[in-house]
Formats: sequence, C-alpha cells, structure tokens
Amino acid sequence: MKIFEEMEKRGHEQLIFNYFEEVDLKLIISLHDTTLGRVIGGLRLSQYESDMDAIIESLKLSQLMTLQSATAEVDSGGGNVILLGDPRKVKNEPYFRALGRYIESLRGRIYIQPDLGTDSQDFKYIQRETDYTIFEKDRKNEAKPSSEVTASGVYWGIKACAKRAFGTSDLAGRTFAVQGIGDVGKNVVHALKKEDTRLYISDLVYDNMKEMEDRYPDIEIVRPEDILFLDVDFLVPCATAGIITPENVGRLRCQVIAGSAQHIFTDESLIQDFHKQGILYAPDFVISGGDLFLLDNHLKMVSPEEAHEGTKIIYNLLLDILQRAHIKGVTPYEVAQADAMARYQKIDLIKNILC
Amino acid sequence: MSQAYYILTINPGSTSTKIAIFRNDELLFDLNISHNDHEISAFERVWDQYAYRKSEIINFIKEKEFDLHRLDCVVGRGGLFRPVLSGTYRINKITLNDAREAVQGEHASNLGSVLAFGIAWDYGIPSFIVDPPCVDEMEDVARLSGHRAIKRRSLVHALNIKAMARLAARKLAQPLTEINLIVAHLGGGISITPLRRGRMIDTSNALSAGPFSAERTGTLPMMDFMEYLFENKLTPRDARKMLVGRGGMFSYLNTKSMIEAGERYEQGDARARLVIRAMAYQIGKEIGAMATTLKGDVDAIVLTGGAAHSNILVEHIREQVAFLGQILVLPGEDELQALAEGALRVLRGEEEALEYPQQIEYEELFN
Repeated sequence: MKIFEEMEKRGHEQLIFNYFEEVDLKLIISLHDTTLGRVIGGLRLSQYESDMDAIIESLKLSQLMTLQSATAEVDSGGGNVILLGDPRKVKNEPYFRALGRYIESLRGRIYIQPDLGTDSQDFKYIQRETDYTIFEKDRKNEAKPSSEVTASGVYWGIKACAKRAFGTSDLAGRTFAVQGIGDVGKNVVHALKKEDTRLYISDLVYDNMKEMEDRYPDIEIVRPEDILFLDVDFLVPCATAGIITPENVGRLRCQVIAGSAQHIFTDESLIQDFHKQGILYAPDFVISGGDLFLLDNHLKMVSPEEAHEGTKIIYNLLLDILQRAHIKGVTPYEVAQADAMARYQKIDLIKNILC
Repeated sequence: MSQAYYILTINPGSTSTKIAIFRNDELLFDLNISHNDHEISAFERVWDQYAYRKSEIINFIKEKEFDLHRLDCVVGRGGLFRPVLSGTYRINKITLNDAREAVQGEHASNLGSVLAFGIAWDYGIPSFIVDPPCVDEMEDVARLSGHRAIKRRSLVHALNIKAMARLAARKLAQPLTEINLIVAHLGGGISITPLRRGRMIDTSNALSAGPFSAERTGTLPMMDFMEYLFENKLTPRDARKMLVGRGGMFSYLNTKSMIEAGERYEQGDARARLVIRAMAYQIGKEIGAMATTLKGDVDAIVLTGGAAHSNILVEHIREQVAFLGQILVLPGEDELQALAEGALRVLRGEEEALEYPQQIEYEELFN
C-alpha cells in the first residue's frame, strides 16, 4: 500500500508518527478533515500484525469520525490516535504522559477520548500533560469514560431500527445478541434490560459477563464463536472491527445489526450483502456517535444530563435515514454517507465567506 | 502414545483455596492458597469472593511458570446445589444460577463451579464439577425423617466417598457395581454411607446428624436440644455455630485436632480417652446401622478422611465393627485428585459428561 495514495483516496489532511524509545511509545495520529472544526478521535491501544495494518485502521477510523460528526451536526472533524503495543505490558504513567505531551504539541488540532484498550485511569495520566481530552463527568465532576453516553446513543439507535423493522420502537419481547461486554457493551445491556428484552451476551473474558449475569440472571451467555450467528432480532456488536467477512456473512440469522463497533465488516461491499439478505444495518458512524454529544459546538463539555438528552437525536436522525433508504431502495449506509457529505460540502462552501 | 490431558482442579475452602494441576492423573503441582481473614470477611457473600479468588489462583499458577494455555479443562468442587445423581457434570447456566442463589445454603464450595467456569471460559476449554456434596442417591425409605415437615437430605462428602469406593473396589479386585460397601468419611464432618453396588443408598448427613466429629455435634437428643435453644435464646446463627464448628470433640476438649486429642489420650487424659472412645462408639454404631440398610451383605467397610490417620480412633472402631466384615483403612482425602480423575474419565470418553441438573427421580408422596 502507498500511504499518500491512501490518504488522497480517503481525503486525509495529516498523518503523524511519533516514537519515544524510553517508554516504547509508538504512536500514529490521523487527522482526516478539519473543515467542520478541530478533530475528535478515539485513543486505541492494540497490537497489530504490521505497522501498515495500524495505519489503515487509523485512516479508516478517522474518516468514519468525520462522517459521524457531519451526521450528528457537530462542528468537529474526524481524527484518530493509535498506540501500537500490548496493553498488558506498556501501560504506565510515563507512557501515557509522553503521549499527552505529543497531543499537547498539536495545540488542540485533535481532542482525544478513550477507545478500545484505554480507560479513565490512562487518561488521568494523559490529562497531567494536556487538556485536549474528552470525558464524561460524573456527579462528583470526576472524569469517566464516555461509554455511558455512547451506549445511550446505541440504545436510541436500536429503538429507531425497531420502529423501522418491526413497526414499533417498543423493545419488549425482542431478542438481542450483544457481542463485547466492555464499558459500552455493559451500558447497552443495562439500557436494554430496562425493557422486557431477552439478551444473549458474549465476551472473550468471563468476568465481564459475570457482572451482567449476577445482575440479570435471565441473561444467556454464549461462546464468542457462536454469538454472531444466533437467530435473534438484533445483533449488537460492541467489540472490534472486521467481525463480518465474506465467509461468514451468509450465516447471519439476525434481522437488524445495530451496535457501537465500527467497521464490523472486512469489506464495505458486505453492506450490500446485508441488504440482499434483508438485514437492516444501522450505519456505524451514526449509531455509535453518542459521545459527540458530550461537547457543545465550541468543544466545551456539557453536563451528563444534557449529553444523554442529546443522544436521543440519534433516534430521529437514524429513523429518517432508514425510512429514506427504504423508499429509495438503497442501503441506509449510502443515505447516511450522502447526508454527511452534503452537510460537509455545504459548510465547506460557507467557510469561503470572508468575515 | 495416549494423549496427555492437563487439568486444573480447584477446591475452595472457607479460608483457603486448594488447587492442583495434573497431567492425566499425575500431579504436577499443588498449592494451598491461604486467604487473609480480613480480605475474605470484606465480602458480604461467598459468591462475591469470585474475582478475588480467581485472581489469586491465576497469579499463583503464573508464579509456577505454568502456561495456562496448555490446560484441557478446569474442574471445580461442586457446591450445595439441588440434589443430583453422581457423576461428572458440565458446568452450565443452571449450575451457576444455583451456586449464586445458594439453593441449599452458603458454602465456600459454591465458588468451585464459577471459578472453574470463569477460568475455562477465558481459555476456551470445558469446565466440570464432579460428585458435588448434593449428590443424592438415597432410597425412598431413607428420605422420611419422622415428620412430614422435615425431609432427610443427602449432603455428603460424595467426592471422596465415591473416589475411595472406586479405590476399595480396585483393592478388592471387583467391580464397584458388584459389591456393597460402607464408607465412613471421617473428616471435620463425618458421613457414614452405605453403597449398594456403587450407589449411595443412604447417608448420615455430615452437617446435622450421625456421629459427632472433631467439631460437629452430629445427632443430639432432640427434646434436650430444643429446650437448650429456648432457655439460652440462641439465634439461628448461634445454633448453627453450636452444631457445626464448635460442637463435637471441640466442645468437650477445646481442641479440633485429632493429633492433640490422641496425644492427650496417650498421656492418660481421662477426658480425652472417653471422648475418643465415644466418638469411635458413635461411628461404630452408625456403621452398624448402615449395615442393616444393606441387610448385612457387606463386602468391606472403608475408613477414610483425615481422622482415619488416627490409629487410636481406627482401632476403637475396628473393635466394634470387625464382625461385619473386612475393614479397609484408606486415610486422608484427595479431593483434587478425585476431581481430576472425574474429568479425565470424560476427556478420555470413558464416561459421558452429565448435563446439570440430572435430578433424582422418586415418588414424592408427601409434599
């Protein structure tokens, strides 16, 4: 792969590599587009088979973030930060403070928030070096991961899908297969259990599921290799990318796919396969955008209540997308992508006005 | 060459967790992880100790530099679940729900299933329990207590009793399914269990009946006990402590140690002599009673458990019951080994894993 060609194809502005040997910090920062404003990006810590795999993931995720912001009518662009390393080995104070200094050196071109592999403890170190971070605040005004707000957005998105697929947003009696019981997955489970739903959950780590089983004994736990293929109303992916492949797409038995995980397919053409199989797919960049409502248009944090209230917009936004897609006979992904690009292009034109 | 299976076995006790790793039935290493009283008492329920104990287990195994990815299965000592048939059970949702709900009472062994399941899940391997204490193979006539409101329950050292019965059968060079045994498990609690062709047709409940043990009362004169409860206004918790933990030999000699009691016996301590003789007397009497459940057709009496290390106790018992048949003394208990063997029988395809619960079937004439 040629990096500059890839950047051109996806419309990226900037790709930054940092390395700090003393703490083995290997860092990729992608800034996709700043037309709408400063960029927001998740901070992901993971191991990759190759550096190029990490670059591609960073480019994809930051591009998706731009679409997400445009869709949610938030004035920010898309970014992403990837740390290459083994979370069990690299995590320590100097490591994250070094990262914080690199983020600070960009003077607010990117704001970061926790993503896979990073949590509030890591951000406590990062925040000693930079204020360019995004967190939900709890009642004691202490920072905590934005997972609750993200999950709230997923919940409203699921309700919109239910309305489109089953004619009612009431989830009572519906069945769900939730893949990935991390911070977001747990909060999605809590939200779904407020209605009389039947849940199947799966995670690679049992302890995450035990917490849910102890609280909701009627929940069924399912082996990770089986969860995607259950005969359920909703598949709710809340884990990693690339879980749906050309080889397994035909085995899906759900009616709706709606979750926080981004790029669940290895190839975007699989979205057409969902469509052909009659599976309603909620575009990832729409349904997973709840955390954007933590900020106002000046990138200032809003109260948790305001953020949670803001996520309800996802219901109307997604329902509108789903209905227009249905009328046009295209995928919701195509409609959502076109909407996002249209807003983005119009705002881009407005920025030409001198003032 | 036959396949080698690596098996992690877990036996949680009230203040420690015993674990071992086996290659087939060969012990590679075992550990007795003691838990700090202060840390354990911080948990409201036994179930809540899961994460704490799991982390201790994983850390200790890693210290031994054993790669957990090599494991083929994890086996936990089953808890006080609903009454089931004897065997090796695959741990499932119902097992975990029953352990969480403590359907037959809170007990550290209730953690065995969830610890095994949790570790096994993380490594993508199966998990089992083997012969949990709630194994119930009693005959119908053994279930009636004498009052309709109270049932006789089978809460028994099934794991060790079954393992020792198999061992006894091997020593007698006969299949377990063709002989009758009485197995006396002499531990912190005592259960005397007749096995007709391998099936435990009755048992003295180790928690509330049978002979007194080092720390439990066993059967007490009922009316006197009832009056004692009312006169002393004991709470259920206090009464339970009196019966289990502060009863038996401890209430007479102020020690739970059979070694210490034996030394006092040897030194001529009249009280120690009487108490040990009385314990042996009650055990012998119960063995005699259980012999009648087999209609006197007894191939061997097996004395097992920690207290069977006491020659004094064993000899007193022998004096009483030798007339009933051959006595095999198989002291100690190796529950970790018994767990491993139970899992191994399934891994090797010698037995099918049972799906919990395989509930006992009997006609319930008195609900």
